[in-house]
Amino acid sequence: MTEHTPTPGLRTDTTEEVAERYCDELLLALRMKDVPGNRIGEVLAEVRDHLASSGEDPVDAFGMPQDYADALTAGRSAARWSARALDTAGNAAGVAGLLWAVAGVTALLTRQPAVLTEFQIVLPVAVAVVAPLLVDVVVTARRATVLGWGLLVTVALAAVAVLYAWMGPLINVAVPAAVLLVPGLLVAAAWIIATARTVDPVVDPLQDAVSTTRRRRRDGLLFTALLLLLVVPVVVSVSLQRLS
Amino acid sequence: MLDLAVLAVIAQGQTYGYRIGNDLRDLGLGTVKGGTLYPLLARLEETGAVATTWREGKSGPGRKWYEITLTGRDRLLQEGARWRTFARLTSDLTDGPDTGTTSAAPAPASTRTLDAGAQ
Repeated sequence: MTEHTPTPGLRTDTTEEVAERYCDELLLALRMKDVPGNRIGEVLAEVRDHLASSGEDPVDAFGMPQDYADALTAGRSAARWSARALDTAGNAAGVAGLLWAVAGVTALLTRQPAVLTEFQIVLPVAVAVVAPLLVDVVVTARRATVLGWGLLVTVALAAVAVLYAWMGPLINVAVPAAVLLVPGLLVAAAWIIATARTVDPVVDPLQDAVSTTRRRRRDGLLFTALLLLLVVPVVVSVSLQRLS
Repeated sequence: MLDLAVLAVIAQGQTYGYRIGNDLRDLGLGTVKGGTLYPLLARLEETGAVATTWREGKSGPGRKWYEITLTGRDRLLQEGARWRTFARLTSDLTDGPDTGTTSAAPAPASTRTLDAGAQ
């Protein structure tokens, strides 16, 4: 059989859109399996080439994105639990560092002592443990299951918020701003740098090494800038709240 | 068995995924879906049986070209010989006039080894 040649006027954008939608879903499925960015780039390029050559429907040719990702990673050993635990601990420390730094800066700006509560310790651990699990569920589960989990998490968060507002913090220790600010800044900076270095973009196999390195750096900087952009409004709003 | 057929197709000269699928079909091996073919090609690459290069494709996206390596040729020779022996023995067994009467006899040692190899 000869290679598929698109007929002018008949090959609409829809065919390419279907292929691109499939590639998007496949990318996500491969990311969830910790496949490196350069390998994902190769898989997607091969899928695009095959679909462009054959004119086939992506699901007919490769199966559902999740199943194709399973087939591509069959036989690969999953990440060890110790590596996952280390990741979770690192993320929890990073979020805690950010919270401490925000509390420290706010205390400095308002010239009041910083307040250490259980919120600054429990919340980062909860975020680091629950967030990856939720992402896993959203990506792999059926819609009904996702809605169920979403509802459960919303109800749990609301219950915790109401309980916290009613009872107040269990621990309430006033400390000098520097006690939270200095370790908070150090831990947050270390976490941001470490995470920015592990940014692993999806790379087109035909892209040269220089462009790939440049792209990695750009994505790392973008990640850092995004985090800082998230932190600044928090500092400003908390400071304003405490001043008022 | 499909690995062997794919490796044999690649041994005929540099080629790419979609063309391998077409060649297999032309050889009478039926339609091999991309979802089966590409993971198999990835395994062949991982084991060093084939080497790959990326080039600009006619249809726009890059195209991955496959070429057999020395390791791949060795594997093709060894597994090909095993497969031919297995196919010959199976043909002899099924073509024999007394197929029904010999089933209780113990299989020769060489056949048992081949069965293990074929799996």
